[in-house]
Amino acid sequence: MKTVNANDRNIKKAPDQNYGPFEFISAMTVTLMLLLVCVFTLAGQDREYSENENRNLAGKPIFSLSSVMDGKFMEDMDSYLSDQFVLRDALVRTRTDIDIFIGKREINGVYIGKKHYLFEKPSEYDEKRVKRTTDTMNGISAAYGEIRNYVAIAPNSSEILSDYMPSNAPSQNQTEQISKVYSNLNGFTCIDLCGPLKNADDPAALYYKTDHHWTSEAVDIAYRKIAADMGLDPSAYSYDNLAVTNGFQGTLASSSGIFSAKDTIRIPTCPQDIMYRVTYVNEGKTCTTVFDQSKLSEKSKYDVFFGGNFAQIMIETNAPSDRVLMVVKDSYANSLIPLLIPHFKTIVVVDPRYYTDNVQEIIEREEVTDILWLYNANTFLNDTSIYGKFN
Amino acid sequence: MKPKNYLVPELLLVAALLGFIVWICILNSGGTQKSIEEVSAPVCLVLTDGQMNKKTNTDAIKSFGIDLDKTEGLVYYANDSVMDVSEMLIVKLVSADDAQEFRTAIQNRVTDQENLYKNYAPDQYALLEDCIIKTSGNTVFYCTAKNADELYEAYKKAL
Amino acid sequence: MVFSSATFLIIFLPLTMVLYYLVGVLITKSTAVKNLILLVASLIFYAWGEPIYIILMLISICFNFVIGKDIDQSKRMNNRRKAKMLFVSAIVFNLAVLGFFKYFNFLLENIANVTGAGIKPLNLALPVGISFYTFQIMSYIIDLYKGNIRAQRRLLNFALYVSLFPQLIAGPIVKYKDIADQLMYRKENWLTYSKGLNRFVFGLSKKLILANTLGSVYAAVQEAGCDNMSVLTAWIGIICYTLQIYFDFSGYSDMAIGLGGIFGFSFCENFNYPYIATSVTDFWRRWHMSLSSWFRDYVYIPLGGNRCAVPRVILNLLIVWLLTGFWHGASWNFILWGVYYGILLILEKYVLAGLIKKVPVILKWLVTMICVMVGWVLFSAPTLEVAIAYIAAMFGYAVSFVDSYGVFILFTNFALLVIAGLCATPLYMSLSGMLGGKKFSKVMLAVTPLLFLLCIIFMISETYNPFLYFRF
Repeated sequence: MKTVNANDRNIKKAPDQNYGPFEFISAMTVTLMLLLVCVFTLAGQDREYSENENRNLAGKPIFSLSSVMDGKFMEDMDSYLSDQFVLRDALVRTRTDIDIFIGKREINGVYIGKKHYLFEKPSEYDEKRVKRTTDTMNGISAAYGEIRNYVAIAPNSSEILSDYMPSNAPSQNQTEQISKVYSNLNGFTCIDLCGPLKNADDPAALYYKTDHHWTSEAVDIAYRKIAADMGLDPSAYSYDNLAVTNGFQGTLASSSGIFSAKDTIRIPTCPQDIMYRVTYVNEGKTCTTVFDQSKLSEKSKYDVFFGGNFAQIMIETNAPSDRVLMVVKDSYANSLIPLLIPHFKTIVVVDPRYYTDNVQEIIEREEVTDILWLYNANTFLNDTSIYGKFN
Repeated sequence: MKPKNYLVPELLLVAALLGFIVWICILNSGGTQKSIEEVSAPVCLVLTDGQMNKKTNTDAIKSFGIDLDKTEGLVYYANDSVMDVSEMLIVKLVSADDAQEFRTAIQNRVTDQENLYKNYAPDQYALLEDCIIKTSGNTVFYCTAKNADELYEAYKKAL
Repeated sequence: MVFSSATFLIIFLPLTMVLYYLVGVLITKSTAVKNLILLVASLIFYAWGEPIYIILMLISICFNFVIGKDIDQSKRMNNRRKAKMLFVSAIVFNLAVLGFFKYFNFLLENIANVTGAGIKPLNLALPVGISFYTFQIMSYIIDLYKGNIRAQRRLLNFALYVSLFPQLIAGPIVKYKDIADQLMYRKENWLTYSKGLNRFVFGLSKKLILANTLGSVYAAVQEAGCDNMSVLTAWIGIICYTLQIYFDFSGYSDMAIGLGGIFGFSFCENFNYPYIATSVTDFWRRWHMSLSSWFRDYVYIPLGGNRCAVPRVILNLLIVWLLTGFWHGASWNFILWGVYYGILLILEKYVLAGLIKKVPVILKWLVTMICVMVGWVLFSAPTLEVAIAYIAAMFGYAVSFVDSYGVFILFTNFALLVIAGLCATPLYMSLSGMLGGKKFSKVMLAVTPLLFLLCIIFMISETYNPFLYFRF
């Protein structure tokens, strides 16, 4: 009983004995910090836009009885104060440095890999969801027996660059996932992209370090494989890849807040003798290039291809071909479609995530002869927008 | 010293508590006897020209996946353009118990839309982030629009 | 408002401190003015989170203030019957308020479940801090009736006692008898101030740096679900939660005690390194001490405590622990959690007492911690089914013993777990003993402002919200 008492006394009394002028100074330092932060935040100029976060920052909340009553004013005040906090960007950057220093390898759903590579979390295989998608695709192939159906699902960086993933990070075998998807499909030519990409000379160059897309090197390999399987002749046209920016910091950098690396985006040169016209159907805009150079000065530089994702894009060419291709796709296709231009009379690009109508209408209107489904594995496995686009 | 009589203030305060409980229950249940047309008409007046067009109930089912049998009536406005996410839904329910179900359906719709427009159009995404979803008893109000606050105020007055 | 929010740290706290010291301490030197400033600040603090329920708190304050005076008067006039009647009405009033706003909905739901009747639940929002301030008020009423204290004569002081913002929404539950003198007279000086502020920063760090970071690990484990959970993952998850809830809650108490110190108050301690406990009994002497002592003083002892026959003591213990569990929230999880502890304590007291003496300390500690962690599973799981599945996964009913996800979160959070684990032990106090007073002071000097800076970094970075054009 006695020893317990002695312990209690030690614990309770220790701080008292130790309090001296030093604590006073440290408390005063904290007080000063509190007051300075208060003054700086209130007196400082409000920033409107954050480059790092790519969004407008919260402004001063508007005071009204109803906004106070339902608590909106208080919420807005909190986001206003933290958004306009002095040195906000530097503080956030310090936090990521601390996190990485103490060993964290996953921030905001992004894996922090080796050699500055960032990785998107690989999607899981959800039988029901995939089945709904593949059933829709099978429905189209069954309805139009005369149309050639191709499907190409690209693996993501977590599959090809698994050596660069953080040790033990949970992964998915995408090669297996993709062949499982392929085995669900009837009447399709299934194009295997995993093999060629895995055998590339320099796998590290196939994906951006800071973004979840594939690079022009990967597109080059994929194009050769797709062309071969679709019966196109890639050697008929030669092209070069031109670097258009080396300051690309993509989605993975943004969501993790790690801006330590920069990527280079390359775009292919078009064969001289091919002319084409690009129509953004819903936007009613027509132009003569698939590249939107203005995006290079913005945050999302990958949008240099087609200017981003659009519901329906028509590309009409003077290529010596009578094939009409419909590409149903996600953003991985944006950098590959430019290479297909010399091979088709018309290419209709459909993004089911934005295209709300039935694809039947396009197939019949344009007298489509070939359909290519071009996706990356993560998006395809999570997709819920293909279902319902055909009945 | 003469003893003070505290009974009156005590009873008054108990009455105040009961009053508060009744008030908060009314506030919580809300609800309206007015028809959906009476509620929505003044709100629609606030809509600016070309901001949204009236949609059918079928459109509402398509967008939100809601069960029409559980509603007494609904008004759905949306912009026709793919590039404009503005929309407004006012639903009067048969039973206030289903309010949560409808809120979830609306929330799912908003999340889907947010995922769609994240890359597409930051300004539209910002509108979705600031959308208003409110329940007052048997009516659910949802709005994504530049002037969502104004529309909500008009709706509250109309209840 | 919560202590770890931007509004509190950037605006509320600096302004309140400046006003309090400038007007209250330096200019008027009057306790009444100081109390008025704190009361207004506290009401704003509460209204910030609960703009409507502040009315409820004010009604409750006024009623108890008046009836308190009435009880006091009746006792002085030796009118025992009236005093008793008033006392009972006051207790009924407070329990009714708590019961209606916290438990009524739960009751309705269960009646509807059992009888199948179509009763509509009310779904009222729970007023923040109602359990804490109701218990504080009841300590006042009970002690008044028992004659331990005299009634507070000023509404200002009584209102301040109930609403004092440092301990208003998450304790410690300060008994009126412990603080009555401080409401009337207290002296602030640089010692209480700097002690208080340093303590506040330590509490803030526990919450923002440790608890939130650990919480995100547990949230990720929980999100992954129990179906594919390995034994390793389950244990890492619950260890993170165990540490999180300690740092969260004890951090909040530290902040409350620290803030109290800044304004010249001295509150009771609420935690005493619960995770070094070597028995469940010991754990509850160290965990949320203000709540256990409240139940001991106002429920357990009035029921007869342990001065009755064994069956009665067991019943008393079960009642107290059922209530303790139920106090934490209106759900079966909490009730089960309370009863679980009641049974463990009874077992320790009557069955295992002899055995416990023979077992080495380290084993006792290990068994205690396992019991506590199983308790936290019950406490944190959204439903009973999830809790059972989780406990099953912990004890081997899992798809695998070790999986790559478990190894991944173990390695990537290893440093965090070690740091957090050490912070949950009295190592810091031992260091102060080893280094001696002066040297330790110098370390402290550097540590507190640095910790505060870290807190700001963690608070602001939580709001990092990049606009993501993700997945496309």
